[in-house]
Amino acid sequence: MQISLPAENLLNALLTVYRAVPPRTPLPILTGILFETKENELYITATDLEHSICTYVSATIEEPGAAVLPAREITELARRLHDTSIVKIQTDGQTNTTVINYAQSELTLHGFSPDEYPTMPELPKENLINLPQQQLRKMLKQVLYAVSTEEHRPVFTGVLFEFTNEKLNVVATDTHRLALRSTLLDTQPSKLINVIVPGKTLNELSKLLVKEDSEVSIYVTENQIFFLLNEVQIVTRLLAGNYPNYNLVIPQHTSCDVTLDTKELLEAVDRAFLLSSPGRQTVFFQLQENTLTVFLNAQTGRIREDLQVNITGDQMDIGFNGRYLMDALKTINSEQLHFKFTGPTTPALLKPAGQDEYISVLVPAIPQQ
Amino acid sequence: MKRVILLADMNSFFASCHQALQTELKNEKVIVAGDPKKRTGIVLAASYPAKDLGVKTGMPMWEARQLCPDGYFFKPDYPLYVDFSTRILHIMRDITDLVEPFSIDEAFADVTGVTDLWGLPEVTAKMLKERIKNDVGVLCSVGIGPNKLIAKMAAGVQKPNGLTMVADIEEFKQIFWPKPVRKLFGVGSRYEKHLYDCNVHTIGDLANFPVQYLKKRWGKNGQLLWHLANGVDNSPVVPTSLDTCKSIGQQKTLPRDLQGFEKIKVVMLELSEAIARRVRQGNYIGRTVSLTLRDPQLRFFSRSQSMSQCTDLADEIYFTACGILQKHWEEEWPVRLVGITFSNLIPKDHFQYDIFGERIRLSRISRACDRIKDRFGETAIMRGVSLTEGSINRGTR
Repeated sequence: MQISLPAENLLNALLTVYRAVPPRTPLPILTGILFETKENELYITATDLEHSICTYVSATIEEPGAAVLPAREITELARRLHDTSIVKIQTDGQTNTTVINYAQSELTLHGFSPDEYPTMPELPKENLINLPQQQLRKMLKQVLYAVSTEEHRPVFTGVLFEFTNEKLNVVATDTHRLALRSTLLDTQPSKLINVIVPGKTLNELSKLLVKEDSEVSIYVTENQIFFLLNEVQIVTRLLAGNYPNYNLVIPQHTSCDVTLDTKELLEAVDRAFLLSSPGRQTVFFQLQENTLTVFLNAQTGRIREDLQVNITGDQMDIGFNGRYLMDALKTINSEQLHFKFTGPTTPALLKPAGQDEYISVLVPAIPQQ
Repeated sequence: MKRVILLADMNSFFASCHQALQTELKNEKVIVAGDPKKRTGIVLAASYPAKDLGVKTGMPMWEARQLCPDGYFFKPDYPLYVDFSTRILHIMRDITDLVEPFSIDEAFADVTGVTDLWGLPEVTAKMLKERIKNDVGVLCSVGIGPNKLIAKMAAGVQKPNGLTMVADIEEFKQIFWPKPVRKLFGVGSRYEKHLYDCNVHTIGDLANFPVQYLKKRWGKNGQLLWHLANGVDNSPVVPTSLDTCKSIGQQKTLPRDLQGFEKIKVVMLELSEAIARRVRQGNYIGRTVSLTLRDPQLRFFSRSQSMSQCTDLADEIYFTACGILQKHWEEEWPVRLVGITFSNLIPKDHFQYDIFGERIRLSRISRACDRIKDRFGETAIMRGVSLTEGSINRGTR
């Protein structure tokens, strides 16, 4: 393989795929990045076998071919080059040795055989649906905080994508809180399916969903999902298992509704949370007449803040994990929010005022006798 | 004012307790070990006549039997030891209220403020030894020093039935600096090996080693070791140090090596169950699970993981431990010992339930089982796995 391209283009492509390089792996070849030429383009791929990211850049191809180069070294080199300099990459297919020329200098890297690099799954013929990138990014942002990091219940480390005729619902829960974001679809998906996508991959994806006015195309096979956005393709395996029926746990009837300023509440909880300690993160609410009192008593001191709010329904005392509460509040993108309570020991519901497409469910922390 | 700290260390404590109850066994070869009937387990304590024959703590029972065929073997009786330990602490508290239990058979006493009452430290120590011997019936070694470390090291100088006073740091240096570094409190086999690599062989070598290097290598612990080697220890005697529990753990040396995750997990589930019950009895919740495994070459492995939520449920402790096992252990590696420790404990004043009602369900089941066990005994209700092969509770009913 013999190619040349501007350092800046190389770096951008490498930074995109680098996210898929596993930090630790028993398979040495996965610490490499695959370079392949196709027509006038250089395709760059990285994978940790669970998810892969592939992108292409235009390059001058003098001799087609492929190479697997050590990920850290090639990326860090590209980072240290001047944007405008032209990089020439020359690989000897026999020895897997690559010579990289830049300005008057050269670097030789010992790579791996491209034949041994895992093959990428093939893109299915028919796509499921296209969505605006910005829309998917906003949806993911509102649910990803609720994804579980505990591996013993794998389905909760993923986000449920539920495609219906006219709606897409995305749901995440770590069993202590749940976030549900729906959106109306302009076009019908080609299949009505439910899939669970690993939260880790979606985190990477949401960082790549940056372009305005551009779409992401989604393809689904039996056990994989593909996201195509401009020149980038992300593939990940789907999580096997049944996602529990989340509808059953979304409170239908509430006993107390509070409407209040999102920012005001977030700031009050944030200040109260200063007194929390690991393992003792409960922030308390007292709902009385038209005041919501946020308070926390701890060994280091106590805090109390009164917020003027609109309360309809029962008065009550209730406590929530402050971290969970703040995570949820940060995703509410309206000035006012509805906080709906069902009782001091049963789940409460958060909702941006005037919007029905997003809800967050929180289970309170219950005092023990 | 110069502090005066005593450490009383009971000699062959478990064996002595049995001897105190059966006075005819005084001067006999008494060995406390595993279960003599099942012929499994290791030696936990041995009286001095048995030690003279080569019986050591930690030795497998069969080996102890070979060395000492006519010994008196006892199954450990923890309630008895706790009772003896409490009585000894009462005697120490007669001298001063600043008594800190350090383990079941050791306790510190700060006698700085009571010398006017009881006389010189040696006199106080002698009186303490006499009272423990006469009232409880066990012998102890007492160390006296200007801080806890020196008192502890001094108590180890003369065993059994010793009394050693190290007046100040200078004397500490004279006595302890020539000794092997392993003899320093806090230095185990691992530190010893690393220190040997740095050409540090004696406590004196360590005390004169550049502290910056130790700090760089082991962080805070490196600095602490250096201070200890220099006889410096400013920690106070805290009578309440054991009032709040920091961790609850349990481990089991297996009668034979286990291989395969399924079998190891049976033991892990039973340990988690026992730990969770103790956590609930203390009304705690905790967050961090540590799994300790030992292979047939007796090499230790230990890793911990914290959960996102505090818990007192056996299933959650178990699943976290399984996660550690699967991440760091290989299916085919045999295991000799399994241990689980649950730490980061705090009083249970709040509990975070989950959306699907799973935690409420598990909490109710645990509470019901706890009540059955409280009333009818620990073996009245057990998990199904306790009937399977490899269970550590099998046959206890």
